[in-house]
Amino acid sequence: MEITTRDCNDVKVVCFKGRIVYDTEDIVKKETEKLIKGTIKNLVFNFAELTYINSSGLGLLINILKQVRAAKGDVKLSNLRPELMELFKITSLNSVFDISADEDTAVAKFVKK
Amino acid sequence: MIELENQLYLEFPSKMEYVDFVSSKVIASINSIAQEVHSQNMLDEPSPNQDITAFGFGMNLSIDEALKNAIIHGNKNLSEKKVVVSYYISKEKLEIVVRDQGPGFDHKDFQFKSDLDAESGRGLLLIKNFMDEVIFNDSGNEIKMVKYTGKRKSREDF
Repeated sequence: MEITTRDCNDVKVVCFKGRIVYDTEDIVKKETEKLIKGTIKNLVFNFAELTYINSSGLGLLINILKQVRAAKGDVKLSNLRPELMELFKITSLNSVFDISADEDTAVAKFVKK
Repeated sequence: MIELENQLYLEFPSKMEYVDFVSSKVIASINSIAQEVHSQNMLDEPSPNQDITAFGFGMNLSIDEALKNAIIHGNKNLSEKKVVVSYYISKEKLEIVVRDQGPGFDHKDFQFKSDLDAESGRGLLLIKNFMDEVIFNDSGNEIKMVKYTGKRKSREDF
């Protein structure tokens, strides 16, 4: 699991590469804790290279979303692979998360506000 | 022609750090057996219509979720308790059975959590979506997940 970030004006784009499983959840937790403490709290999670996530990983994402919102920020998702998008639909989490097809669209949603 | 029929039985201690390894191994084992039998049959009598489909994301996820439920809810994370996973694969179907050493649960009245933003409780929901049949034993400490190869959905990853 690799997580890289880059700033795009007032939005931080967070790229996930690999699989979110039990063994990699800690990496995700640590990286997002740093983000929540940072100045930019408008986050776009780019999942283009996230190949696997299970129900625990989905729970972790919800936990992160709640923390970021509590810190007056928000998380938007982009570039989900078809099988991941299906998970979000099955669990109705596509109504909890703002999901965009591509990164630019997700970033633009923050700018418009 | 060799008829595809194979079984595997694997037992491991209730530790979450084993889940990813075991589910990946089970999938790899199923796919390699299916592939080997298919290759041999193609050598014997080539037939372009005998397509072989690899089990992928949905199957991996279902096994992952079943193992996790067995460890956390069944065996209550007690590593001295074992989880047993076995599979049976034939031309028609793939059956995966996961059993724990816990008391089971009331699977007949199981309610999926309605809270959209709950942080857990989605494992079984995902399994039911990806598998054709999900059957529990009476006490509820054993889950059988069935995928029919014939009426496989058009999804490529299945």
